[in-house]
Amino acid sequence: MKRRLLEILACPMCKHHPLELKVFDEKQEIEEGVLMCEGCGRWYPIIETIPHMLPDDLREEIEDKDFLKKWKKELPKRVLAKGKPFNLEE
Amino acid sequence: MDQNQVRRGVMEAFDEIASDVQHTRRKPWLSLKELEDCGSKRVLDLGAGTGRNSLKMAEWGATQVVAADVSVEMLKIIRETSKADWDKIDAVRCDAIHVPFRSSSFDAVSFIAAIHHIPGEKWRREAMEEVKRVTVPGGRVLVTSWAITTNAKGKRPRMRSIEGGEDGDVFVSWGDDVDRFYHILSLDGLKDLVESAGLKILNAYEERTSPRESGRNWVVVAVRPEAGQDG
Repeated sequence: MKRRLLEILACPMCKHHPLELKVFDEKQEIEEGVLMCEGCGRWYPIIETIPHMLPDDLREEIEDKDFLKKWKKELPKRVLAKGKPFNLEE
Repeated sequence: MDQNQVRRGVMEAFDEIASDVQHTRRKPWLSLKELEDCGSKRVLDLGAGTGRNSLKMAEWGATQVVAADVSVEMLKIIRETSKADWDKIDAVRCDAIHVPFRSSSFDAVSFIAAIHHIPGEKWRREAMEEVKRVTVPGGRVLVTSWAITTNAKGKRPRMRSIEGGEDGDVFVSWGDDVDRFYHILSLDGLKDLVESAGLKILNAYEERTSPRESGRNWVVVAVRPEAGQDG
């Protein structure tokens, strides 16, 4: 994902803008990271440079939880504990 | 018919056939020329597939082409095949009912051969409203949908109707294993969706992708009215 995309990206569910970005791995562009919505508490993964901005009903719980586990050390606690639609505690 | 299951099915079907699509659907859509003079701006290709139309718009001089699709496998193909154009292209995985962009983000939006993959009248209306929302006032929108027909030999694509679906809902085969959901609209039906969303229609017509193909499509070109004008 190129950083310029932040200028227009909004939460697909609540339309909040801007989204908060946390980068885990960046080369020419962001390889892995997470986009977080302050408006509704949802988070969206960036995987292999592609931001996955799916609505809740198209997301896969197992894949999402694997992503949270993979980046557990990097992710803010609020995402791990309370993030929507999936987190590691609820 | 469970609409959420159908939406998920469309996503999974396109992941599965992504590389086939790349090899058989290479030419940009003819009616894409309707957006040619929108070059040198930011455009959205909603339902970008493997990127044939996104690449053409980049070639025409769009400064930024956002290629959005629900299939991540198709987006990976865009990333791998766009080469020098990649610096103009942003790939985003999303669906057309929950579009992840601010309002008035795009100078033009192409929504090509995508609305017919959305199950449910209500959701097709929602998708058109999203298209309008992210287009700047005065910005141009191109919408196409598949008009069912036969090819030159009189052969129809393989399809089956869907129990509990709306009139016009069908599954169409791709190869032996993959079924994709289509909702077959009339040209009036497509125009109604576009107008109901508050877009002003500039032109509406039929196009054939090629004389040999079974592809006959409805094309609607529209504009988001400027503020203060009736939409």
